[in-house]
Amino acid sequence: MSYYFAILGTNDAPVYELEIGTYRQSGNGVPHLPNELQELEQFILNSSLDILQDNQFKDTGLFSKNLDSFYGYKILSYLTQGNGKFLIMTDLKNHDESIRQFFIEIHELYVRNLLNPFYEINQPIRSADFDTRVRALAKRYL
Amino acid sequence: MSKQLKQLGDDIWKNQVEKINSELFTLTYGSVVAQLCKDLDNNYDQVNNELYKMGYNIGVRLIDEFLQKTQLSRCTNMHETAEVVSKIGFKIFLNITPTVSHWTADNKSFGLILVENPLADFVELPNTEARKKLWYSNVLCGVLKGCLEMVQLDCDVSFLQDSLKGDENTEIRVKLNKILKDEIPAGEE
Amino acid sequence: MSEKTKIDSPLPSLPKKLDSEDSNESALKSNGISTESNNSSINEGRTVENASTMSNISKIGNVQSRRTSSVASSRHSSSRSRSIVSRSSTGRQTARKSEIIEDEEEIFGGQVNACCLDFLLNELVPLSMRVGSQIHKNENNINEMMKNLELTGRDSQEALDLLKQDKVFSPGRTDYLADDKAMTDASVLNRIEQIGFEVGYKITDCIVYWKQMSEKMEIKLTDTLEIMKFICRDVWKVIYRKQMDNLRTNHIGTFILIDNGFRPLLHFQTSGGDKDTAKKAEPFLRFPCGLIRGILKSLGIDSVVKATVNEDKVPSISFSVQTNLEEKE
Repeated sequence: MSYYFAILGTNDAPVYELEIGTYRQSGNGVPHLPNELQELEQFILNSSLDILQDNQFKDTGLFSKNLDSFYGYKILSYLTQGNGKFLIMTDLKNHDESIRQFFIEIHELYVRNLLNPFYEINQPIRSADFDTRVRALAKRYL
Repeated sequence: MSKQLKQLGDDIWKNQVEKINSELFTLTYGSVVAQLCKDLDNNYDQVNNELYKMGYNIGVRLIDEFLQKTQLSRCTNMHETAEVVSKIGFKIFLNITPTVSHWTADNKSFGLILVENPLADFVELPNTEARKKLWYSNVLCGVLKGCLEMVQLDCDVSFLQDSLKGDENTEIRVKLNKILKDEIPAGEE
Repeated sequence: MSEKTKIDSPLPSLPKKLDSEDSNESALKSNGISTESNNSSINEGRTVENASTMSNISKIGNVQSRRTSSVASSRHSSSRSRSIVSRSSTGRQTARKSEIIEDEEEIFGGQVNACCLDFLLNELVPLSMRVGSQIHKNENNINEMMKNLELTGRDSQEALDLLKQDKVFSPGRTDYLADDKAMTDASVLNRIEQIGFEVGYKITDCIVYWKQMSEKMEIKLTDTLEIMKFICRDVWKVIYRKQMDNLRTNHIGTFILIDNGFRPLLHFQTSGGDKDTAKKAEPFLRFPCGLIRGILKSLGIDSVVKATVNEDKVPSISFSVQTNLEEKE
């Protein structure tokens, strides 16, 4: 039961990514993504971007819990106003609400990170602080 | 005395001040600093310098706003000045109250410890060199310098430490050089 | 938009069991939520740290161990009763942090005096001019060094330059406004606009986030008119504490935004009459131009923004925004 989480910048380039396992069902946060999938995860998310972009200008919410699916893994997305995109690929089911909460909290982190003047938009997020906080959130929600 | 000053500062902040979101102010200041670093090719000494000058320019104007809002009269000694700077000056502009500490024996030099610093919220310095050399909030020193000079106090103001750089505290040192004579300001013959 | 890679063909190498997710788990999961505790022990925290295995294809953004020295910043405030997590970048403190991360400072909770921002914005013009001359000087210094190598001293000239600069930029004075050359120097003006652009580029997300949090509603900015309204109402209100007075459009991508009392120029007056005032006000308009352009850019719209003083009557300002650049091509 694992997650692959990525933040894409306004130009669709990845700025942050993280593989993490669930903490539910006595999970310990270790991701168990098959190797084949690990190699593909970026492509999978990228291909679901097309759907996200179609939705973007429709009157749907920011959060989309069934954006796409791939071999039993489903893809959930969250769009910020400034066109930042949060995507999660996971094999957990019925977990949408916590993932939504997770996205909302990530949104705050994302905004905080933007407020760091030395962070340039669409550059990789290298802040260790950011990383720690994301992991803490993953632990709480995922 | 100190309590009265605090009360006055709080009152002014509450009733007379038009407020804005500190984050957006932080963002703007941050963009200025980041742009400076870029323009001056990461020569942090020059960046510090420019921030200081900018602060100084702000300070000599800001003092008017301060005096108009507070209607305070002249301080009798440096201790009083320090209290006013911390409890009223910082309070009514940045909504923070730095702690006055580390007086030297001659009562001419003190430290302002900024437990929080709205300018530096969310900031992470980009690299080791910046952490070594850049005084991110140096504009504050300039402002203080400018303000104090306008009330005839010739002071040296500089950062001693900054928690952004990994120091324990954020501390500004203020050292009185001399009290200027109550005459025409320099350069205005 | 970057190119996307479509994966059309199914991948045979994937294990089949991925396809059929076992359905018993869902029940477990819904129970599981409540049993998960927020507390984390130190050991667990470390495991997460190590556990994340990164595959090696173009892994970006997660350079955890890049920084080794610790940046600690902690703040306590009695007046605002908020506390923030101490920031540090050494991995060992991770666990400790995840514990305190709970009582986090509220974002967009703080306030400062509005005049701080006013002072700051008005200092941008002289600052940019100073930086311009500093860069110039830096370049000269290199030339100077070269010349010194050739044993020609030009100290007096440099000293004179310094003196001149100090006069122009002496504090509290506005002599810099008379410096026509610097006032119209493209690089000086662009620098001001660039700062505005940077602010604008980031501010959309911040303001929308803030509004969403405070008003509990999802905002979607999709069509250009909505965005313009957002700028006129929300952005202006946040930065200049007033809304724009008028918004016009020709419906094919050009917008005129009018502010009859542009705040930074409210008390702006020169002795040379309206025309002169209008001329000297121009550099101060570059920041909002950059701001608008940045906001539009962050929402995926390229634009050209120009500001003019209406009939030489400072502080009445029009911004003309052209957004149909792409369609023209």
